[in-house]
Amino acid sequence: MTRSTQRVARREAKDDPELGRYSDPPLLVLASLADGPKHGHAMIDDIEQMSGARLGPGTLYGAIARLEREKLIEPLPEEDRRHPYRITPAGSRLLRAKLTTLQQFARAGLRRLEAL
Amino acid sequence: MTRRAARFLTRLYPPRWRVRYGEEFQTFLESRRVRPVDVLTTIGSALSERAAGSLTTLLYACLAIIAPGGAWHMTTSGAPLARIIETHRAFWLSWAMIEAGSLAALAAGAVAVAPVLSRILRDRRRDVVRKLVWPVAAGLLLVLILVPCAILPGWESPEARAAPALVVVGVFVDQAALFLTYVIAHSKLSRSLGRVKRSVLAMASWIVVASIIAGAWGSTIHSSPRGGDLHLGWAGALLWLVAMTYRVVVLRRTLAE
Repeated sequence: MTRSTQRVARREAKDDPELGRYSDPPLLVLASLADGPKHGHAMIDDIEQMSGARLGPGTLYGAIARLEREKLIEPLPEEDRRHPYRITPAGSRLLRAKLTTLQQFARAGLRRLEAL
Repeated sequence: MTRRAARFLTRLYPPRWRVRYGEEFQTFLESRRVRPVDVLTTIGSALSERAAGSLTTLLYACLAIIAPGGAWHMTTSGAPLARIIETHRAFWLSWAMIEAGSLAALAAGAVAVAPVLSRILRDRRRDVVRKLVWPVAAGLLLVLILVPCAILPGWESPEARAAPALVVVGVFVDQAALFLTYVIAHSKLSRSLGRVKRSVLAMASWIVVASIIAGAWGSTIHSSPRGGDLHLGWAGALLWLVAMTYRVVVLRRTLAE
């Protein structure tokens, strides 16, 4: 990771004081929506495929409601009694910053393991 | 999942949530195989959504019940009022009600408030934590006001046992001030005041109430050391009623949203 990328990640994390709060279900939902809009069903399957974690309906919709409240995702017009959701620019920024931090952490951890 | 079960689970969520997600969520549940663990997490999620708008209120409601119970216990233990409670049926009944309320609140705290607190800490709900800090700060400030009363000559050993009650009185006073804040916030006055000015007004109300209580406390202690306990007990009961009325009103409003 370049120093400029790290600086951007740090700056974005600083700009959003709530960044540290997002983890697990909300982060998984954001990551699932990163490659395009999805509705609940598609999100659960995608998240399971991507991370191995199977979110329950309550957990999924709890995360959706919270992310929508924070304007990190937004609903698209209803299709067959269900809304697809898409990530907003703010959601993309947050996801990028969070994943960059995680990547930095993972690399540092792996480097230490290699040194053993 | 069957339509009936899906509808039941959806109805556990608050109305404002159902307006937005209800139909979609029910369709989602109906079209999937839902495991027992999913049912449990859905119930937890629904309760959490119901509590989301009233986390602080719920915590204060419990505190508002526990605090007077503690204050009564501390102020009547070994004092003449304890004997009065035993001899008069009305006193005994009121004491029993407060004691039962305190025990019920403690039980409710163990069952309901502990998970809510854990959720606040886990989700880092700084907005709730910030609100919780105010009464604690208010209580400490009140102690600073009342401690001089406590250390003045005439403060004998039996009364000294009630010293921790001063902290609890701080909570009472804060509750009363919150009541005033509620009145201010719902009066025409609030429309012409900004948010900051309203906060200043609320703090001013708090200081006025604190001064009155502190004055009453000090005068009763010095004019009649034993009578001070009695006055504190009734003041506590009165404030408890005011605080609970306020909390019930706010809770109903919050849940009705």
